[in-house]
Amino acid sequence: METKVRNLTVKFGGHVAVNDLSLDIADGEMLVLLGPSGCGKTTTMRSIVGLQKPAAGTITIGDEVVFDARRGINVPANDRNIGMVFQSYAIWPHLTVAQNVAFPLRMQKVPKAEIRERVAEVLASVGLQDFGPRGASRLSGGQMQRVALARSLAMRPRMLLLDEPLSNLDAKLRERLRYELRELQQSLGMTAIYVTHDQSEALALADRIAVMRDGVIEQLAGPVDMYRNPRTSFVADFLGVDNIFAARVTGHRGPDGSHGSVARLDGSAIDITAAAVKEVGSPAYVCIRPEDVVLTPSSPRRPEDALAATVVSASFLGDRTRYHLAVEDGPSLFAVAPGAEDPLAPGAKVFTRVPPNKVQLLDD
Amino acid sequence: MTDNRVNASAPAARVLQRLPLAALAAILVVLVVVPMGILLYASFVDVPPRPGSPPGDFTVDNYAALLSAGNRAAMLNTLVIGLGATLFALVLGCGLAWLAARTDVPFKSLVQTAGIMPLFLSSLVGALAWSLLGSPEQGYLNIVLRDLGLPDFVNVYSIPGLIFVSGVYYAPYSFLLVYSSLSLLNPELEEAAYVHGARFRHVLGGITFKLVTPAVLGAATLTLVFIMENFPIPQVLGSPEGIHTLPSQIYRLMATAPSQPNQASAAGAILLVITAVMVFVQRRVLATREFVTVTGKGFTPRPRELGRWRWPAFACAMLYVLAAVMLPLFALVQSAFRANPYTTGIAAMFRPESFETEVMAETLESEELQQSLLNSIAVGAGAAFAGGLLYLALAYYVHRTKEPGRRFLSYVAMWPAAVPALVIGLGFLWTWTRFPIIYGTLAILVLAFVGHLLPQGFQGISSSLIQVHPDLEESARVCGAGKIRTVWEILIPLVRTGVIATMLLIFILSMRELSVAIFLFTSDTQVLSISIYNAWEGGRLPPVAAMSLVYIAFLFVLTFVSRRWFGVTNRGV
Amino acid sequence: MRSTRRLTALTATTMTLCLLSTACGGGGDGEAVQKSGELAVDGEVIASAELMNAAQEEKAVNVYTSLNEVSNDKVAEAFEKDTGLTVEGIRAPTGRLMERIQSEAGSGALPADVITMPDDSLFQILVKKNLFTKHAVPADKAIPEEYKSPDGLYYALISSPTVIAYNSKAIPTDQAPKAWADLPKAGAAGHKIGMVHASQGAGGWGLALFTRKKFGKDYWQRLAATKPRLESSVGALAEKLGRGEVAVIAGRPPEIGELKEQGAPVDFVWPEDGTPMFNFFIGRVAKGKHPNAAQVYLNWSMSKRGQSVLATEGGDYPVHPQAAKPRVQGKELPAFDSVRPALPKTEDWLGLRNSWIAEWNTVFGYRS
Ligand SMILES: Nc1ncnc2c1ncn2[C@@H]1O[C@H](COP(=O)(O)OP(=O)(O)OP(=O)(O)O)[C@@H](O)[C@H]1O
Ligand SMILES: [Mg+2]
Repeated sequence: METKVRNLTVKFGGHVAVNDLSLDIADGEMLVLLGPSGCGKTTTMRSIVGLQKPAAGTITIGDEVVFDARRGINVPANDRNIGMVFQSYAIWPHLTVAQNVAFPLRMQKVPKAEIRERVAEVLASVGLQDFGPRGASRLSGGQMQRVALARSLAMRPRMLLLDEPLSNLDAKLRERLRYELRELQQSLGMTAIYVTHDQSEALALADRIAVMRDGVIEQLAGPVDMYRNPRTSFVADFLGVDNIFAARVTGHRGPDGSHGSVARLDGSAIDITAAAVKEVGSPAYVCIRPEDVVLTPSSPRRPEDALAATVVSASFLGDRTRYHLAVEDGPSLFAVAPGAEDPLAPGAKVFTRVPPNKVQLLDD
Repeated sequence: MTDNRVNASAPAARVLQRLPLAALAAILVVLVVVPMGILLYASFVDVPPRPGSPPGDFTVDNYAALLSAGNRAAMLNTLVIGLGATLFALVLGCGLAWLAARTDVPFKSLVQTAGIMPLFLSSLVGALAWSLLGSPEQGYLNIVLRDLGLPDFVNVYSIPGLIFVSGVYYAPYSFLLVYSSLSLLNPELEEAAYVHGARFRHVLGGITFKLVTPAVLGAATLTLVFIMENFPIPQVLGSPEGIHTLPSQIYRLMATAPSQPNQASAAGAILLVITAVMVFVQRRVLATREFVTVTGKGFTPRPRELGRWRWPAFACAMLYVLAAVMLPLFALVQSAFRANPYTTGIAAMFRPESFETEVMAETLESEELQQSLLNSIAVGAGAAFAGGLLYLALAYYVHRTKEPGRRFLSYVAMWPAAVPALVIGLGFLWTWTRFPIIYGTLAILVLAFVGHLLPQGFQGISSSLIQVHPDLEESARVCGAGKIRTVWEILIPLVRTGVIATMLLIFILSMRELSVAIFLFTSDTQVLSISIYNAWEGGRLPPVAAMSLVYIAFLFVLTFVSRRWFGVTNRGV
Repeated sequence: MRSTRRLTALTATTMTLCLLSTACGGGGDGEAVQKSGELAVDGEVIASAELMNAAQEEKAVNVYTSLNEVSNDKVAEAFEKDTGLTVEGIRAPTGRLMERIQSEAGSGALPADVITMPDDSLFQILVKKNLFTKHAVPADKAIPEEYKSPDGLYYALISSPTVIAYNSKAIPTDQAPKAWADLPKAGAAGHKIGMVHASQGAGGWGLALFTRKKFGKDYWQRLAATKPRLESSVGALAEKLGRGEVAVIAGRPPEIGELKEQGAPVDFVWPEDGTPMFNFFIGRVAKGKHPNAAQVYLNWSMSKRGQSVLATEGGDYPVHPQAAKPRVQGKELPAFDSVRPALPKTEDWLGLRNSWIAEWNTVFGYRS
């Protein structure tokens, strides 16, 4: 269901954990909250679900106002009908799997026979059809995650909140469950908020991503848009841009100065050309994705764009190789070269080049 | 769907919100603050604070009287015996705990049982038994020594004797605390020290016991406080030779005629201050250090190999059982089943014709014993249930809500640890005679016990509550369960074992309690510990021994049966 | 679930036990209640039919007493058998009992109908608080004046003697002291002397007063020099004598008799220089909840029947001249006048008490 969060502020004593945050989630949308530890993701979710009382703001789900600080409205969590999968799963160890899943239905006073039916149905939908009578304390991590999900789905919530549900699992399982989750959400048309640290998870799951920082949303956009055009170096950093250098714009390119800017990296004599046009003298961050760094063993055709560098280390990743380079009289640079050829040995001399349209000049 | 609950601002709603705090605070005031307050008040006026007495004038004479030579000696004795016995109890408790938790000592479960066995003997029974065993001249041990042609040097009516007996009977408290933390200690921490070249004794002192320092310190403070406020041991073993401690002094000031309640209160206040300082210091010491290494993480404990010390270590553990349980049992059996109180020698102890079961039979059949056993059970059960509820409510409020006053409540809950049991009894006597519905019934004993055992109960339940991740409750809330429903369906089942274990502990401690009840019982509400004490005061030793044996048997059966039933172990304390 | 069932079982067991305990109480009909309804033993009328009826309505009498446990149990047993009334209350040493009475009376919640305690000085405190009400028992005429209070508020119940007892394994019989004057000598010869603190009830104070009056303060000092064992109750002292922990004590005949019967090598002598006696007193509480049963209890206690029970079972001297002679383990004690009884003067007992006990405490190094 459509959800509106307006001017949400949450305080712990004097510490402001969420600061005047506003957010709209469309019906059936999967919104991913991405941000570093302590930025207020969990707090935002707990406010929406009703476990945390905000200091200010309103929260509306569908057309019900569930929280409004000014009017003194605060619907308790048990009346909000929002599902939540906790990071710890919070599976009750003293109940069986089926009892866990049936719990919200019992709370809704659903008739016994129907409970049985719906529990079986939802367990089947997460692939746990035979697990009903099992004690919940003897499940693997992946199974627990599914039980937690099934429990939330069984209540047919207006919205589903997932707080880093996959972070306790190993990489492979994580990847598989990620897709299952996305498919399930889409087939049910469930509105959902998904919290994660992990950029690839965010990109894979989201209809839209909200990057949070210190209790405010730094950027809200679709995954493709966000990936291409991070608004700040902070967002860029979070989306896997490994090469970020503080710099200052020193000049412009092109006859009328509209073909891009030249930025000098702080503390070195290296100039980088970017396609964007920025005011001369302004500080900026040069952001370069490692896969956009082109490596050439021999001197390139346009040497003014190229930087000489030495390979410090190379990690062979199968389908690509990741290099740690030391630029001559400059900073470290990370580069990824596609293909399964033999990687360059440490100490090898290379030239690097970054096409100006792949260089972004961003604010902090 | 725009119907919404409007709360806050409305004054009625706000009052309702504060209701739990008000209720808990009121209960704590009644159980803890009032008795303590009365004590402090009485220590500063010249008239006993009995109901109906005039208010009295302010005076510091009661404290001045404490500076007399006899009282100074009592204070010094309290400290010397307290510190000495605590040290002894720690050595015994930690040693057994280490053997049982971390080594390959033979018959490990027996060693573990040895650590808690003395809990079945209350300090009263232990002291009585040791007065039979170790009194100068005619104590059984001296008789045996003389018969064997050895010097009869044993004398428990002495400061070393008091330290020995107190240490032996308070060792289980250190054992319980240290054992549980030693068994949670990750052995890799010790192994890391060996890898880095440390020797065994370095590891034991520098790593193992350093890591469980909080538990050891906690045990030390608790033991010290308990020993310093213990009344039966100095009363039974100290007073014959004029060795007094503050609690026996308090009792004497109250029980001799004419009684001097104001001076007794001043002595109680001093004891209170000493114990409060101890508790405070312990908290400060612990607060300055962080110990995160003791985790509940899964690992396979690898026991330390004792090599040729295996059997000597086992023998030491058994020696403890001998001193704490077997010899006292022997003494009680002697006294209960042998007609002649005078013992000429070893032979006389085992002469078959002098054994008779009459006293035991009479005791078992006596209405008094049955009545007081039932009273003890009823009071114990009452304290366990009422206390269990109160401690759970308190622990829930403190650890699981964000309501105001949590820290304060948790602090007040620890106060009774600093109040001598005798003083709690007096406080209740002076306050509750105004309420005849409760005073003079078993309920007054239940109330007094619930107040007295608050620290142990609160800590026990808190520790199991903390182990339940709050997510488990919150997810129930999200699933549509109300607060009460969540507590009932999720929290209670999850903490059940811990709560039952605590309730059992309260039951057992209540069954053993003497000092709190001594000013509160009536003929209808006389509990077993009082029957034993009164019979001892009347000099009727055979029935004392017989009742003590019944008592021990009951506590023994209770603990073991309930352990099997509920699969719980004693924890906390 | 399994464990729930176990918990239920435990609860049920506890509750059953509690129920059983309440079901065991209750008395039957009194054996000494005549067809006419009056209470009489051997022709001595103890309570009229009317009083007895009213008492039976009340069912029970609440007695606060510091009589020793054995005597008290026998008395209660005989009274319950005779009257069908139940005896409730508290039995505790005098000091503790006093604290209870004063606290409870202060809040107007004293449950006692009758109080039995030794020690004039303490009893007078209660009298001054107007705790007691006048009551003349049917045996009043027979009881000598010295055992009645002038204002009719209470009676002396019994006279309790303090004698010298010894353990013949710890001190040869021929060396055992025959008189109080010999005690310090026996102590100095290395035999452990035991006695009760002067501040502990009537027995201790009575002996202290007696010896001080008779031999002077020097006697206390000589005795204190032998480091006697000081106990808080005469019972505990007797028990230590039985085991031979102490050699000689100031004790009471009944306890020594019982030890002797159990086979302990103990005996006692009537001291040549006088037997200190102290009285137990009995009074009826004005605001008691069972006024009629209280009257029956008082009447019975002072009757020939009650006094005989106290004498034969408790080993104390009765105040009723026609009551049976005191017995210890079946053996009659010598006549009251023949044991050189030393009854303290009331003005000494009350007047010297505070200053002399303080002095005693200093001399014996006790609670200074
Ligand atoms: N109960 C609380 N009391 C005080 N401060 C809190 C509490 N809960 C959270 N905070 C603080 O609020 C801020 C936001 O916390 P929150 O749990 O929302 O972070 P998060 O983004 O979920 O982090 P993570 O990724 O580590 O889970 C943090 O600085 C945290 O320390
Ligand atoms: Mg979080």
